[in-house]
Amino acid sequence: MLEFDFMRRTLLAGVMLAVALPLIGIVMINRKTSMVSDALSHVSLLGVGIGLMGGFDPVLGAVASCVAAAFMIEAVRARLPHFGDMSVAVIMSAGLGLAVILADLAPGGNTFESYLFGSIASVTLIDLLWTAVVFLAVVAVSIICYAALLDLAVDVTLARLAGVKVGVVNGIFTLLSAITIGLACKVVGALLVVSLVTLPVATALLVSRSYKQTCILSVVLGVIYTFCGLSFSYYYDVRPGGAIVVAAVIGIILFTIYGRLRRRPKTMVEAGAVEASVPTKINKTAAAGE
Amino acid sequence: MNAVEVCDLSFGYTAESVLKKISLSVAEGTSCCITGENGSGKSTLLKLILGELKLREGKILVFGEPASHMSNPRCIAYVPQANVMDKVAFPTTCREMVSLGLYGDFGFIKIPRKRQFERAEQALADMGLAAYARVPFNELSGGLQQRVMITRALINDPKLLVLDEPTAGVDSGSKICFLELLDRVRAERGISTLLVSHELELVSAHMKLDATWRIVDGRITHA
Repeated sequence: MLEFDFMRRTLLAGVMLAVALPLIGIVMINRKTSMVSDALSHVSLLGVGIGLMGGFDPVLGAVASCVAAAFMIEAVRARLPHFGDMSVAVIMSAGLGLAVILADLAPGGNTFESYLFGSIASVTLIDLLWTAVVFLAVVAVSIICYAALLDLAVDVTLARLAGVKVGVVNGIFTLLSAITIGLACKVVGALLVVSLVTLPVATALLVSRSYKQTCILSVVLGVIYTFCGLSFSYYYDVRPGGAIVVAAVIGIILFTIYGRLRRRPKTMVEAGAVEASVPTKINKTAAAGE
Repeated sequence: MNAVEVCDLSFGYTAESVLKKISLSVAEGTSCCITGENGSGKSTLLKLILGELKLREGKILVFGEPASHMSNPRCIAYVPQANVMDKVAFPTTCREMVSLGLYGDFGFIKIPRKRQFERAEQALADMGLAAYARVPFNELSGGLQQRVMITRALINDPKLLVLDEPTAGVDSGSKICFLELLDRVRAERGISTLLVSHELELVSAHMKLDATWRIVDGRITHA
């Protein structure tokens, strides 16, 4: 399949997104905001519709709508922290509703559909270049802001007192995640972007014992799922988004089985340091196993 | 100089004030506790002192500087409520968690390195938690999690330790263990301590308190 130019482009773009999206997913899952990625991917369809109607690159529209929606969600979440979920649902509904109307009005129904589920034949050189830029930016920010992003997921006050520039880090993260999700709708498909944001991380969480391990494993799994999915899509002529999701679900099942087989009481008995006076969840587990 | 000085502070999330004309001061090296019923405004007062909420009326100084614009925020250490840490569901080892307190030492690329991990491991060892260094934080009980968090809080040698209901949601054995540990490190290091707790009797039984206040109907009185 690598003899074809379009396939090389798609694979390269897919692999770059497979690294970038789980890196975003780790932060979103840790902050319990993974549904934001779902909302943004749905809102990207609004931008696709506007692009098709306006006669400009629909990916540009998708990125712009994602950025606007992401900052709107963040603004509502900041003002009404107890209604964070609601703001996600409202913006997703509004974006999707408008996208559905534009889908009927926009020329080229098939083009619109290709953004829903992804298309391996439609990745252009320009798409590839933009994906490379965003990929580099996400990787750079994930490394440079590694501790800041982790600390913000633990507690904002702790992070601020430790010296994290909360507003700056949050702003950069929101912007980059919106751009990445907007770009990904062409290869992975808007409806399935969330799978690449969450499923590799969900798999990694089944076996990881540290944040660093989770990050590395999520990225590796993202690449494996994407490569398997795109290859399957090429050989069996199915939508790439669906194939990537199926690969990820198979991965989750395999890791669940592996995790269960491997599981043993990871207890402090191993570490040999439980103070008898301090009951822990862990030594309770050990006691139950005795 | 006082570690914390609050003068005529009034604050409300809406038009109604949660805190009314609050004044208090925490002298350097002393330990103080603020108590009150749930919803009395204790945690709000703490958030204001930590600079998390915007001040509307009154004045708060931490070591002589406005709380929200401190030149060195690392001189304040904070231990959040136990149930806040319960939400940390992802795997992060205790040494990773403690090393985050050294954020200012990471350089341009904010990744904890060997040196920071070694300091975190040493700090955990000093607290009797050496064996937990590579154990995921989310696998620990509430009591142990709070001990890890106080280790993180102390790693920068802060001058002021602020704790928000540190024993809420923790089993009774661990509460006592935690308070005794807190009292020991406070005394050993001479750190000013400001604690918010609705369990004043328990706190005063297990640690030395220099001043206690109670917030009732938004007003503060000596408890």
